[in-house]
Amino acid sequence: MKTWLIFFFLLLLPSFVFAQNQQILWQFDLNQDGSINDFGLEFFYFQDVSANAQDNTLTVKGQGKSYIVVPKGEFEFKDYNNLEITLKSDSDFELRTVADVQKTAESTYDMRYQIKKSDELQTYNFSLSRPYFKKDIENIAIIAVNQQLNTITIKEIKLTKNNSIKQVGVALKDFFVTDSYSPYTPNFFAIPQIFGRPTIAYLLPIIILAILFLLYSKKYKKTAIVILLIMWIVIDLRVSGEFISYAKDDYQNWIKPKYEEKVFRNDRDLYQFIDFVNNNLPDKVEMINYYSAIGTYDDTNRKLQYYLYPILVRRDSLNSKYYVVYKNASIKYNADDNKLYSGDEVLSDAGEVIASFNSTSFIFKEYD
Amino acid sequence: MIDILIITISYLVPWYLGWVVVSLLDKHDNLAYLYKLAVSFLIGIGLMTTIIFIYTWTGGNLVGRTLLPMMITPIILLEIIHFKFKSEFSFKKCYKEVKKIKEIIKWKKLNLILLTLLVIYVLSQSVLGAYQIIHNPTYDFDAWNNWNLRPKVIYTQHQLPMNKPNEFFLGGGIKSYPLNDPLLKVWQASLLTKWNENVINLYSLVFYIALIFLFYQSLPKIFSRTIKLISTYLLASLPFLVLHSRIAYADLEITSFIFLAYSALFMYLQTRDKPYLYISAFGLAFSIWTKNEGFALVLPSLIIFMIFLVISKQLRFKTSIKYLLTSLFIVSPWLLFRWLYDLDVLSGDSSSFNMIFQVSEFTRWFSLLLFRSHFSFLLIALFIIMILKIKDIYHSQSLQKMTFAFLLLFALYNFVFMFTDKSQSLNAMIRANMQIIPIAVLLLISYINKFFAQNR
Repeated sequence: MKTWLIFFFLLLLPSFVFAQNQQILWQFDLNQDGSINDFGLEFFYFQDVSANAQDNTLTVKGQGKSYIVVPKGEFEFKDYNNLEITLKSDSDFELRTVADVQKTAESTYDMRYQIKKSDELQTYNFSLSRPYFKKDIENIAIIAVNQQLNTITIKEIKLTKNNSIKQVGVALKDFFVTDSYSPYTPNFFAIPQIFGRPTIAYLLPIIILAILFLLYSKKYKKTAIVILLIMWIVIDLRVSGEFISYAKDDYQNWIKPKYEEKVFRNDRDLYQFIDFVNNNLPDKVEMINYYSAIGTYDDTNRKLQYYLYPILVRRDSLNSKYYVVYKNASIKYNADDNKLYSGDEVLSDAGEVIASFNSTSFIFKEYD
Repeated sequence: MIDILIITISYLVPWYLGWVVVSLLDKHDNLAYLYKLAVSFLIGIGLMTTIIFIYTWTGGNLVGRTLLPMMITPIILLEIIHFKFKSEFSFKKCYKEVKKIKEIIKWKKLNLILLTLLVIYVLSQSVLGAYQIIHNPTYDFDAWNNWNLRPKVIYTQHQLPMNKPNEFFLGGGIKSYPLNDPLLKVWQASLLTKWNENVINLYSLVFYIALIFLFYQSLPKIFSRTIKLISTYLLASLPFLVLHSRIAYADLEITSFIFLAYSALFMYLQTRDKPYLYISAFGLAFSIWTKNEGFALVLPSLIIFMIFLVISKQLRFKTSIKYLLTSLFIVSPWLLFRWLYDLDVLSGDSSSFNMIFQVSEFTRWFSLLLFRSHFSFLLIALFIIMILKIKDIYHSQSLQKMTFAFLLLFALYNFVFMFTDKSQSLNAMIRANMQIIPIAVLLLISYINKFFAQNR
């Protein structure tokens, strides 16, 4: 046993010795001419980016998706396995890491992280032990995703290389990362992964050995069965955790909040809107014209058809005097001629807005 | 609460219908009563929806709770027949048999512990699932686009919409989809007298539990209780199966019927007890009646398997024809309807496909099926043992048959994804493979049972 321990220690020794190389990607620094060194970083879709000489930080303000792109410099991304960012934020937001954002922009659920609001600067580590970062990539992007305007204060961004012990911790952490429920989940759900690869791929040698012992060893066949069962149970517990996380998300965002604050997965407030339509359409209505967001993948018309049936959901039909608009900013009511316009085009005859859900969602009825 | 009570009744009525039918099929009371209870549920559901289909197709109206007396009538008639042949009502027999459940306390301590753990496991998964289903709206694409839209439309119209060009033909969605699942929901809505998706959507969970119960009861008697309990846990904990117990799709339903068809057929081949053959025929019929895969993939697989059995002299030609004809007779109303209305055979609204080899998708197919944990490492273990023990499997009559039957199904199911343009980027591939996965668990356990015992 002792020999094994010494051997194991010797095996890990190099990783202690050569651990923790690092490459600074951003920290407060002045160029020779006194201007602020931007380290070649590029910023996209932020409303404001400013460096603060007083506390040596970088402040970025954004809403929706905003990108910090880190181009390849004198170094290769694949030489590092960790992205370390010291930051604070005035509200919760999602941080995503993406490889080669201008080309493939490959990202999976295990490259998304929830960052909590904090008053103090904190250091976060984002694993780059993912297949996408191991290729010859030109850049990586750090994407901030938030529903409302938020301010992120960054002290430092750097690449580091974890030692083997730390990587074991990263592997364990990876194994327990879960995804949220998506429209694709009934076809494929997020599987337990380690370093961006299926956990079962790492277990394969053990599975094969255990099966061999089970079939051919009289002495170890029972042990083999126990090992296989333990692996099965561990995967089961992990995947059950995935399902519990779906239930937890649904509870926090849909079941627990007050009616007006309820949000259901990526459908957001669609179900409140459906209630709104049901409550505000007169009983005699048999058909509506429905207009949802333009230019995005949108299947809310089919979903609305299911929920509103027997009311027929159509678009541009002359047989309906009712126009239901959901999250479509281009469709507007013109008070001058009492008509509905889609951009510059007239959409309806004269009528009135009979109920309003919000500025981009409402019900309009043509005059009889 | 009252809705939950009504929904419970909506399952008990077809279960009873199935019980009388199975009791009549089992002339000499050869089958274990718990096995009969397990198969009765599925057979009852399929029979009930077939009756509703014939009723609505012939112009029957669905106003109010008209379906309830329509279901009670065949039960009473069948009970009278049962009494005539067996001199007692089937429910009396059921009551007597259920009382035997007390014998469970005579089980070995280890098995009692395993049983308790299994029940706790299934219950906890079910409670979590039920909680989500009862509180959440219908979210998944095929649910609101097909499987829930159709019953809602049929229930709201109080009739089966049969104008093919209309978008709400048979309730809407994809026109060729069979009606077993929608008509079960129509039956439930008619008992509830309203469309309440939150209690109706519990059906997937009910089928999950029914499948687990059926699986345990279908395991050969030669298996020890310990092996039976562990293998039932393996099935109950398959990640993708658990996931689908919370999704308002019809995949778990067809999975149950396919397993019923194959497990009963394997039982028949081992015991030669005729009721198993009829039960298997029901399973095949209702898999055709549940999803298009039943007709396009399961039926051809079973026909080829029958040919193999007849050629290898393990089944008489007459028996195989009787089996297939019984099955086709049970599902004949739907087959006749699909022929008259010229419905497509494959899923989607087109039966045409082009043969292409999706080389680029091969790695993804391989990875999705074997490595991405949707079925844990079940298929990896199964195929490794299959390869290592191919000779022994070939020489064991029962394993040879089971392996051949499974491989045929597996090959046909995956052929569609790998060699035709119907694959749609493998989107439905895992879901489709789930339909045959309980057979894979049965096969794996049969291997382990055989080779574990052999290796002494």
